This record gives sequence, C-alpha cells and structure tokens, in this order.
Amino acid sequence: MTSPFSAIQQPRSVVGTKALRQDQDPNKNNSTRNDLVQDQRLAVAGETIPIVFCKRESFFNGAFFIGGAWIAPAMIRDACDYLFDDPALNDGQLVFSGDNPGNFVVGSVFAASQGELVSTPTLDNIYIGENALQTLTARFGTTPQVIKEYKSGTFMEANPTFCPLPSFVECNTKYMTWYAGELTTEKGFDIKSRGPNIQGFTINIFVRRLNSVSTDNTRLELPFDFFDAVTGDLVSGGGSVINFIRPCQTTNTTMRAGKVSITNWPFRTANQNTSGQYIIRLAPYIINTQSDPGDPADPAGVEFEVYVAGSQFDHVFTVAPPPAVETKAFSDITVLTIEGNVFNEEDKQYQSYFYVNEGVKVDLYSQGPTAPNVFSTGASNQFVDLACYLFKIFDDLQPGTASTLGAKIDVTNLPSIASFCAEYLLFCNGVVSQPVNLVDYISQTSRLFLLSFVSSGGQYKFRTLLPVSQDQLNDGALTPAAIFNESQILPGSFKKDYVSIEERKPFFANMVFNEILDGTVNRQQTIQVGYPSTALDAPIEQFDMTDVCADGFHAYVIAVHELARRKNTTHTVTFDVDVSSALLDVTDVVQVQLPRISSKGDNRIETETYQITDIVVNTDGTASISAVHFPLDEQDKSVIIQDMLNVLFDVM
Amino acid sequence: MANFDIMCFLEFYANRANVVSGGLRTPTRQFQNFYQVAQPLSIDVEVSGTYSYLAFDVDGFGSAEAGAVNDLSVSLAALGDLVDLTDAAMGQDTLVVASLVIQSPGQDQLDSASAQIISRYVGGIDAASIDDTTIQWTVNPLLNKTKAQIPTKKVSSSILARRQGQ
Repeated sequence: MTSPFSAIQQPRSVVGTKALRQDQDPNKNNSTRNDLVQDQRLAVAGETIPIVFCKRESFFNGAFFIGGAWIAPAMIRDACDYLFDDPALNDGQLVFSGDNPGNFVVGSVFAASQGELVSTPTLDNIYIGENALQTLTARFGTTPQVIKEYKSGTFMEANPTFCPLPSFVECNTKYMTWYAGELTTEKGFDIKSRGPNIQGFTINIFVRRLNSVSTDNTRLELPFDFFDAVTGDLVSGGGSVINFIRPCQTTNTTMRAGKVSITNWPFRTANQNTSGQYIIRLAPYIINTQSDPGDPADPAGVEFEVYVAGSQFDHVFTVAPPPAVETKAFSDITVLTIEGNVFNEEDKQYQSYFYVNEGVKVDLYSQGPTAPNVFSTGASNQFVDLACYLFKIFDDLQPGTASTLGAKIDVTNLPSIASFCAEYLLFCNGVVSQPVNLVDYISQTSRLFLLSFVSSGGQYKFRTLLPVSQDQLNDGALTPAAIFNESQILPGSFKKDYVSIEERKPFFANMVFNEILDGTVNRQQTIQVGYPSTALDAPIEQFDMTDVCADGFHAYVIAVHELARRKNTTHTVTFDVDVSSALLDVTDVVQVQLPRISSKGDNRIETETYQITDIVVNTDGTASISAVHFPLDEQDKSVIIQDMLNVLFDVM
Repeated sequence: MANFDIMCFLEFYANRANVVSGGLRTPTRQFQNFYQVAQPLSIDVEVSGTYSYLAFDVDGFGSAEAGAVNDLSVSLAALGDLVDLTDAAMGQDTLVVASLVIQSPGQDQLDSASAQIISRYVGGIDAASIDDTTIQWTVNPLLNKTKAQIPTKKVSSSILARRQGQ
C-alpha cells in the first residue's frame, strides 16, 4: 500500500511492449506533420507494415476530389550499382567504362503497404523532406523514377528465391550496397564499414566527366587513409591514393565515366577478418593536369562528378558465393523504390512522402457480385470493402456464402450500405498502421461512417446507425419495428438509466482529419462544430478521424450526428419481453408504451422510442432488450435526423 | 406472456468447409433437446436428417455490437462419444448451428404449422471443457476480440539490409 499523500511514483513498465511502442511511435507512418524535414526513418525488424486503403474520386464533373492518402514509409534498404560494363578495357590499371557513358544508380527502397497498391506514385507527388522530388538537383546522370513491385503469396510460394525488387537492388540480406556521398575538390568524408567484418567491404568510386576540355595528361587523384573505428588509430597501410587516368584521357567526349573499387585492404589478412569496424577517410580529390611531367599540362577547367558507394557482405564467406536466399518475406507487400537522387547538397536523406491515389486492391463487395460469389477487384474508398479485406487477409473470408454455411460476415447488404455512405461522402481513405484487433477496429471505426458493426447469432454484419430509406437518412415519419406495452414487457423488468448531466451539456465537437490535396503533403486539419446557440467557451471534445477521413464534409457529418445524439438522447432502457416478440436486431427502432400511475390520479401512458443496442434471447422464453433513447417529434420523425439535416450548425 | 414450447436444434459439422451435400446442410451430428423421438427440423428446408434427443442447455442467442462478448454456451452430457467428438473438434475448423425454436404448446412432435425459428447462432467451437458429467462448448465466430491481428505483415529481418548502428 502506498503511503497517504505520497508523490506519484513512476509506474512499472509493461513487459514485452517494445515492438508495440515502436509501432505506436507517432512519427511512424504518419505523414501529417507540420515539420516535414525529418531524417529518413529506417525500418526496424518487427515493425508493422501498414495497409494503405484509399481511392481518390472526383465529384460534380471534376469540381472537387476526395480521397487518396499520403504515406511516409520506412526505408528497408538502400542500394546503388553501376549500369555499365566494358571489361575489354580492363587493362590491369583501373576498371572503367570506356566508351560507355554508364549510369550510377542509387535507390531507396520502402515497404509501402501490405497488399498490392493499385496506383504507382508519380514523381510530381513525392516529397523528400519539404522539397518535391522533382526539385532536387539532378545527380548521377539519371532522372528519378519510382518503381512499384508486388508479388503475391501464391507467386512467392512457387518462386521462393525470386527477387521482387529492381535489378540493381540486392535481395540478399547478407549483401548490401549504399551511397556514401559525393567527393569534391573541397570536400572529403569518412565511410564506415557496416557490420563487424571488414571482409567483403568494398568502396566503389564512380567518376564521370561533365565537359569536354582536353585532358590527355590529366589525372584524378583520390587520397585516403584507414582508421580503426574503435580506437581512431591510423591503420598501417593507409595513406594510399587512387589514380584515375583513363576517364580523364578523353578529349572530346562528354559524360564518360569510370569506376574503381577499393577492395585490397592492406591490413586484411586471414587472421584479421574479425578485426572490427574501420573507417576510410577520403580526402578531397585533386585534379592533376600534368600527371606525366614529361608531357605538357592540360588546360584547366575539366569538371567531374565523383560519387562514392560502399558494398559489403554481412558475413564472411571464403570460396563460394552465398547460397540462394529465400525471399518469401516479400510476399504480399508493395515495395516502392525511388531510383535517383533523394539526397540534398550535403548528401543528407530526409523522409520520403508518397501520395497514393489508389490503395490496395480489394474485392469490391460494395459493388455487389458480378456473378454468384464473384466480385470485381480494385482500389476502393468504401469502409465495408476495407472490412471485408481485413477479414480476408486475416481469416480467409470467402464471399457469398450464407450464414448457415459458416460465413463470418454477411455481405448481402453491403452494396446498399456503400450507397448510403456515398450519399453523404463518408469515404474511407487512410492507413491502418498500428496492430489492431480485427473486430474491435471495425466496430469502433464503423461509427465514423454512421454504421454499426453487429454480431447477430454469431455472424457479423453492418447496419446503419440511423434509419435509412432508399440509402438516405430517413427524415420522414418512422414506423417502429415493434411496439412494447404493459402486456408484453415482463413485470419488474423495465429499468431506465439517465445519461449523466455532463454528457448532455452543450459542447463543440472538434473533428481531426487529414486534408488530402494532390501535390501537397497532407496536413492534419480540424473542423469544430456546435449547435448555433452554443457558447464559445463551451467545452471542446475532440474526435480523431485521421485514420480514415480525408475530407472535411465527412468530418462534419460525423460531428453533427454526435452533437444531435448527445443533445437529444436522454436515457437508456432495459426490459424483458416474450421471446416471440423479439424478432429484432441491433439499431432497430422500437416504441415502448408504459402507464404511469400516481396517487394523484393523473395517470397517463408514456410513450418513447428507442434504438436497440443489445438483445439476449434466453431459453426460458424471454428476451432481454437494451435500447437507447431515440426521440421522435410529433410527426414521428427522428429528432436526431431532423437536427442533422436542418439545423444550421456553427462551424469553425 | 404467450404460452409456447421452446426447444433447441443443434447441428455439428466436423469441417466448416464441408457443410452442404446435395444442396442441403448435412450435419455430422444433430441433436434436439425436447422430444424423446428424433425429429426433423421440417421448418428449415435447407437441412437434411433428423435430430436425435440429447439433454443439453444453450445460452447466448441474440445480437449485440460486434465488439461485445456474444458467445454461445452449450452444455452437453459427458457421453463417451461426445467426449470423443469434442476431442476431435478442438483440432478442427468446426461449425455449430444452433436454432432456437418455439411452437404452440403440447404438440407430440415438431409442429411445422406453428413452429418458428426465433433465433439462430452459427459459429465454431472456440473452447471446450469437460468434467465428470458435463461438456461445455464455447461457440463463437472464432475471432479473438483482444489480440492484435491486423495488419498481418511485419518487417522481417530478411527484407531489411543492415544499416550502420543496427
């Protein structure tokens, strides 16, 4: 027992939650930031790969658009390679490209989404930090491009060593390549080996001429030294110089390129394979225009690009190349690769942001079957399609089967539900990024689409939260699904609980959502809604819709529903009835007529309408019903719906 | 409160993927808890066979928001073959269909004129317990409501390349 009046002690940590906390990092998969300039986030083994579910649609003949999603994925690997080869010119001095200009290719690979993204992000909709990718300085002689790769589980099962990545990206996890930076005549830098073994660590230096100044006697000299990364000591054998000659010998051909690899470590011997990490310090390069003192010096002015990359095997292997590596872990993941420059002038890589126009491919239950048990596929912005997709990937949902055949979710009413959502622009555009429970996620998120996810006799199904007629909110006179009076409600079973006063006080609903604009990284937005008479200093209650909502009108609809329900719903009831009169379902509207008898003689029948929240059918012949107050006006119209449709709410 | 007889018809399928034969549900085992003589469920034209008598209790019919607990509890006599059935069921993707039926009181057999399925529960056996006298099944959609389940994909070590510091 804690001593009275003692200060609050730090609570214990929950065991086994490190990966969970990493998944809950607000910076993870969350592109709604004001400060876009963040270091590129590196994926950590064990973190959850999100599901990007969205589809951008135009409305009113293209007058406006809703949907899509921005993602800020983690990078799973980087890579670089040299797309040239001219071994005939390998004369024993240095390897270079000869007449082939060649390309230095740099790539950044991202695990974008579970499932297959339908659309590929376009260059004009990718940001690196706060800069559009297209505005970054062109480097490496290539125009950036985005490559989308996806292979299904079925494919990867049949092809377990297939690499579903661009050809210049290695799938072998034991081998990696990376861009280290650009050398200039003024700037050098350090490169560290990755991993504990120096064996297999190679530095590749790529040189490309940028102009055609005569350079017959010009040599590029790249001094470097070796240091022990632990002690900082200069390692014996350092102080070397790489001399590029042949790329400099060209007289009139621009864009010639050459490469040299530093692999012959002076200290690398068999018994030094585990000698730890090393640093190679590259000095600014020197252009020596008179490499042969006996010949005349070349004119000054030749310009080069000099790029440095590392490559390394994570583990030592001696003779044979590493065995074929199974790549099945890539199954059912959309991988995006940016090929080209993503670095700023200081070779720093900021977070990448991609706009996804059409998210994962799903079965379109919202459109109904095209043939018995057959559904078309594609991207969707209907929440019911997301729900069915989640059922499919987790529980192998098979479409179209009747409940008595074991189908866990009723799909027969989904086209109607989807039409209702479309009527009020209640579209689902977002990212499922954190590990959630399937039923819990769908149940709670359903309410953000004015839907209820119901378990009825062991089968799940969607119902609208409010009465609907022809896929629109029913603003006419309602007919209760059942009327319960004194003769049907079992004596002593009726109980009424009032909603707390605090719940019924006026408030502003502050809805948080994502504003998705084409060409601009999304911003987190709010819309604050209240009844017109609400005082400006009334409490503000916030509702987070950022996971699924990409439009302010959607947020407004949910806000006014919340406000109207909170204002007009005063109590809940529970009562028992004869089981034969309980052929009802959750969200059905029922009427209760009960006499109120007093000693004063002013007896009267009190009539109220309710929405069912829960029914338990007992085998003793009774059914217990829980219901929430759902007031009707004198014309039997829903007060909540009337308010939603007719009140001019304050919007801030 | 009206008078009626109330009974439950219970169907057990050893394999959820193999429920229908010849266009009808064909249960592996089927029971009812009211008549001593086996009865067909004549008001359901989609099921075949007759339901033999077994004393059992069922609890949990109804509807609720999906996030709420909505399990069906079935208590059966711990007969030898039902113990074997339960043993086998716990390793399989089973299906249980329980139908709650009411009809006019005092009928000698299921009266298709007045009988009515008042509630039905469809699910698999998620948990079971057995003691000396009773077998208890917990039937539900076989979807855990507390575990983190989706997204199902994780960043695997085998898709990551080592970065310095990792």
